[in-house]
Amino acid sequence: MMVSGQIDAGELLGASLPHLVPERVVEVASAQAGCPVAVYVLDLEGSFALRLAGDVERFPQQIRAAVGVGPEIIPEALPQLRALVIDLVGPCTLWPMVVRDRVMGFLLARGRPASDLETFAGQAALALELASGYTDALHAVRRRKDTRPAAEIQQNLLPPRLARVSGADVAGGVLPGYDVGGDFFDYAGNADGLWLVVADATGKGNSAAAVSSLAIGALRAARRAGAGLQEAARLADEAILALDIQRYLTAVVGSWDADRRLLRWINCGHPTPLILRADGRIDELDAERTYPLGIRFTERTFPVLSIPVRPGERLLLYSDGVSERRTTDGGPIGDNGLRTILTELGPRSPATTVRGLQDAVLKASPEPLRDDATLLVVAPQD
Amino acid sequence: MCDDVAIVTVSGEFDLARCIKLAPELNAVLRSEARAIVIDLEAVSLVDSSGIALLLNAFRRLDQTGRQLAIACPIGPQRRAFEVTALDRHLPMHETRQAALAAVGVS
Repeated sequence: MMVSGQIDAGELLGASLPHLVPERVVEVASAQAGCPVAVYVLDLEGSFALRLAGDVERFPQQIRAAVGVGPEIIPEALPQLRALVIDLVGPCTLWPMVVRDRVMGFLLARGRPASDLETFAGQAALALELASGYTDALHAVRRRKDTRPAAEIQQNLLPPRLARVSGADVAGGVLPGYDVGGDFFDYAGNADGLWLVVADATGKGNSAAAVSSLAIGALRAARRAGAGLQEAARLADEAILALDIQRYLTAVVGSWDADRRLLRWINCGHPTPLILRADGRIDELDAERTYPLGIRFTERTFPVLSIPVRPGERLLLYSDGVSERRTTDGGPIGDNGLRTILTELGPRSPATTVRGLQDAVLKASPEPLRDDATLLVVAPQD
Repeated sequence: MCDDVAIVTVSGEFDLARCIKLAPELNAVLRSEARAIVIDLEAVSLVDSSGIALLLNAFRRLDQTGRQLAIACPIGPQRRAFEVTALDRHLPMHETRQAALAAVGVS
């Protein structure tokens, strides 16, 4: 194992122009391993590994591997990914590139590497993440197809897909990654708890993206100003109304308190969140709801409800693109179908649960998705 | 039927495609002299967010000019989107076309 000459993220980033960082990673990794190494990242839908840098003769451009939630690899799916890669390229070694709890890509060595690149893979991951703020190099490779403007906005609104924050594991995903646009999910692990949002703007495309981006701005602004749930919902409502484009947004805005293990939420005309209890029962959070944001009948209020969500349980927020997804028999997956899928998945990790639900949405029909299908799953830690 | 009450009937899936087809007819009715509009969704199989948005906009335009809207929508799959969005409590919903007509004073 080679210890001397370790290069850290700062050096990788500092020594190269941002768009050349992937090439630099390959150069350093190949020198350390004494054999050819390539860097791979996942596409926006988490269904393909795509070569970011590395010898085009030795490493395939893409590897079909449905192992991600968005462009992040599910840690539990790494054995499956290894098997798929070995199947395609033969004997090789794979090191995940981990940033905190997220696997943002992997290094792949062909042949017998002279040293372990595990530590370097972590530094490479940090350097690539930071470099991607200055260049399109990484973003372009992650886009297997052209993105529509609305989808591009949506991708840039989303927080990391997988995270461990405020006493809970969180995973969120939006399908399709390249088209539609108008849904979003958001979360933030703060001292006062875990903020959660899933929202869906009426219609599709550009105007839906405008409503969504304004709403996420309003919600984040409220949150960062120390506002509560009601104030945040009110700010988003007023912002959409002020746009005056006859569009509205359905949303669940919530906050989970890790100490009290209590979820507080407001439902503004959005599909009912579900909780998978430890005994397999499913509770619907359908107590009370108000109408969507961006509509005004008379003076409105935002009723806040609360329910315990404890370790061993799973909270699921979703958009109607999931439950209304058409199946081959013509009908939608439906609320009952969704509950069945959730029960069958059981208490897996949030990332695995999101991917499992996404697979069910994708496999429901060969038809492309007509609407965004958005999922956010929360699992309190013991 | 009554001259000053217009009836718009929708059938099948009340989605974006249907809204685009329906918009000219609905706009013509909204611009007309009708004092009330009945929108009949009895033969609709489902309503999506585009359908809801179209109805909301019609409601707003009528409300601004002091005219009446009545929506005929039975309890069932077609009522679902109104329940999820909690708009069933704010829009003038009726279970049958007859009840909707009665609500705008046509017997």
